[in-house]
Amino acid sequence: MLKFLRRRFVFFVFTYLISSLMIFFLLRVLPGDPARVIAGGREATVEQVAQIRSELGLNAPVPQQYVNWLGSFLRGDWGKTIAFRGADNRELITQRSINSARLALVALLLSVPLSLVLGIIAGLRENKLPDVIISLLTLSVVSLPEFVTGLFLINIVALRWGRSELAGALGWWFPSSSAVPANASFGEMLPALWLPAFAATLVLLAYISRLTRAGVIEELKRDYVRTAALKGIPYRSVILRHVLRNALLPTVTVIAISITWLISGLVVIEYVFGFPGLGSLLIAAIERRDLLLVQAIVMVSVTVILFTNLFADLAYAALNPRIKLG
Amino acid sequence: MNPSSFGRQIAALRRFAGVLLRHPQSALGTALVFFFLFVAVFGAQLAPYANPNDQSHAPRVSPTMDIGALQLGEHPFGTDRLGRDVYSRVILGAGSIFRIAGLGTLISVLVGSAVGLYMGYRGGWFDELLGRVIDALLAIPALLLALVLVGIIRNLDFEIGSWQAELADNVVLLVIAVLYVPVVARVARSSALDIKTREFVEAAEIRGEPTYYIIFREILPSVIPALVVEASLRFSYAIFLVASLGFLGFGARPPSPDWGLMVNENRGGFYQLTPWALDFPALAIAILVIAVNLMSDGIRRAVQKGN
Repeated sequence: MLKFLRRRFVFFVFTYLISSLMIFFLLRVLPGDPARVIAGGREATVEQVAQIRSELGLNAPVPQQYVNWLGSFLRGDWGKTIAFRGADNRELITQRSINSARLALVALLLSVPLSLVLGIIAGLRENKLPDVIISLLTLSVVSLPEFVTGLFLINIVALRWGRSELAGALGWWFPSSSAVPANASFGEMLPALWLPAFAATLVLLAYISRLTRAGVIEELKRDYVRTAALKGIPYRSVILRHVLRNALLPTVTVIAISITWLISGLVVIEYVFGFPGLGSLLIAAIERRDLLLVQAIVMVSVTVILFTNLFADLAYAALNPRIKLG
Repeated sequence: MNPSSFGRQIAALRRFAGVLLRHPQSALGTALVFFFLFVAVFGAQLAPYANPNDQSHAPRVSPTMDIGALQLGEHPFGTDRLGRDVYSRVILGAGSIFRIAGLGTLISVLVGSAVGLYMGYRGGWFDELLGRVIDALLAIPALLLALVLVGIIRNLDFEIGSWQAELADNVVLLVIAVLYVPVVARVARSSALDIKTREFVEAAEIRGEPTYYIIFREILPSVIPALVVEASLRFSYAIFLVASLGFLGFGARPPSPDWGLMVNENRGGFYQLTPWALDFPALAIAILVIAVNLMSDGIRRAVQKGN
C-alpha cells in the first residue's frame, strides 16, 4: 500500500508539472508578445508594452519565468485581472469557483442516485425492453452537446412552461432567469441553479448509467452469482448483497471521471445560462485577452481534476479488499 | 498486392458492413451520416439560394414547409431577422462541420498512430517518458485547451494572405488535430504492445527488416481494427467539439453559416422573434451528433465481432 501511495504521489507531481509547463508555454511563448497583447494589441505604445514586460517579469530568461510563475501560483499570488477592472484574480476565481461548485453539487446530487438506479435496471434487464429504452435514451442524451440540451430547457421549460400559472404558483422554486449576481448566497442562488444543474444532470446521467449498466452485466456473469443462486439464496438478496456490492465499486472512479467531464461541460452550460461560474469567467477572460486570468483558471481546473483523480484512486484502493497494491 | 489478399480484404469489408447494417440503430445512424455527407458535398447544388448571406428576402418569415403536402415552399425553414434563408444556411453549413471534424480527425489518426506505434514498438525509457507526458496532457479537458488555443491563435496578428494567416483561418481544424494526437497515440501504443510479441514480428526482426517496415507492414495491419474504432469515436467527439466551439463564438466567424454560430446568434431575445432560425440548426446538430454516435457504436460492435 505504501509503495502504491508513493508511486501514485510521484505520478501526481509529475503530471502537475507537465500540465503546468504546457499552460505556461502555451500562453507565454507562443508567437506574439504577451505584453503587447495585454497592453491592448496594435494600439499599445512602446512605453506601455515595456512597462508591462517589466511588471510581469518577462525580461527574465524563460525557465526562470516559469519557476517564478509556478511559485507565485502555488503561493496563491495570481496577479490582478485586466478585464475585470483590476480585481484580484484569486478573489475573482474563488468566488466563481464556489458558484461552479454549487452548480456541480446540485447536478451530482440529482444525477448520481438517478443514474445508478437506471443503470442497475438496464443491467439487470439486459437487452429486454427496459434496457433498450434506457440505453437508447441515454445514448442520444449523452451525445447531444450541452448547449443544445441547455437551450432546449431554456426555450421550452423556462420560456413556455415558465410563464404558465402552475409555474407562477410555484413562485420561488421556479427559475424565471438564471442570471444571478455572482456574490449571491447559496439560498438566493438555488432557484437559478435548477435548470443549469438539470442540463448537466442529463449528460452525467447518461454517462454514469451506461457505466453502471456495464458493471452490473459483467458481475452477473461471474461464477459466484450462479453458486449463490444454486445454493437457494433468493434472487433479491443475490442482487442486493452480492452483485451490487461488487458492481458499484468502480462507481467511485466513474464519479471522479465525471467530475473531469463536468468541468468542461460546465463551461458551456454556464455560458448558455449566463451563470456566473468559473467556466463563463474563462470564456470572458479569453475573449478579453486576460492572459494571467486564463492561466490561473486553467491551473485551478487542472488542480481540481488531478486531486479528484488522486482521491478516487486512493478511495478505490481503500474500498476494494481484493486489491493489494504494491 | 496479390489478388487473393485483395479478395480477402473485400470479403472482410463486406462482412464488416453486414454486421454494421444488420443492427437497426447503427444502420439508421450510418444512413443519416451518409445523408449529411451528401448534403455537405452537394450543398451548393441543393441550396435554393447559393449565397448564405443573401439578405434580399423578407425578414422573419415563418417556415413555409408543409410536411403533410410534401411541399417545401419558398423558405422551408423560414428566414432570420436579417432576411437570410435559414434552409440554405443550414444546407451550406454542413460542409464546414464535416470538413473541419473530418480532416482534423484524419490528421490526428495518421500522426497519432505513427507516434503510438513507434512508442509501443520501441518501448523502453522513450515510451515510458512520452507515455507519462501524454497522460499529463490528457489531464487538461479538451474543451478548455481548445478554447485557450483558439483564443490565442485568433489574437495573433498575421499579414493577410501569409501562410500563418491561412493556418489561423483553419485554427479549429488544427486544434482538433493537435488535441486528439495523444489520445490516438495511446490507443495505437497499447495495441502495438500487444502485437509486437507475436511470432511474425519476431520473424521480421530476425530477417533484419528495418524498423519502419516492421511498424508499417507487420504491426500496422493488425492494429487497423482498433484504429478504425478509435477514429470513428474521435470523429464523433470532433463533431461535438466543432459545434460547441462554434456556439461559444470560438469557431467560424459571422456571417458564416456555421450551425453552432447560427444557434448562438438566434438565442435569447431573438428566439421570441424567429425561433425557427435557432431550432433548425440546433436540430441539425442534434441529429448529426446522435447519428455519428450510433454509427461509431455500430463500428465498434462490428469490429469486435470480426475479431
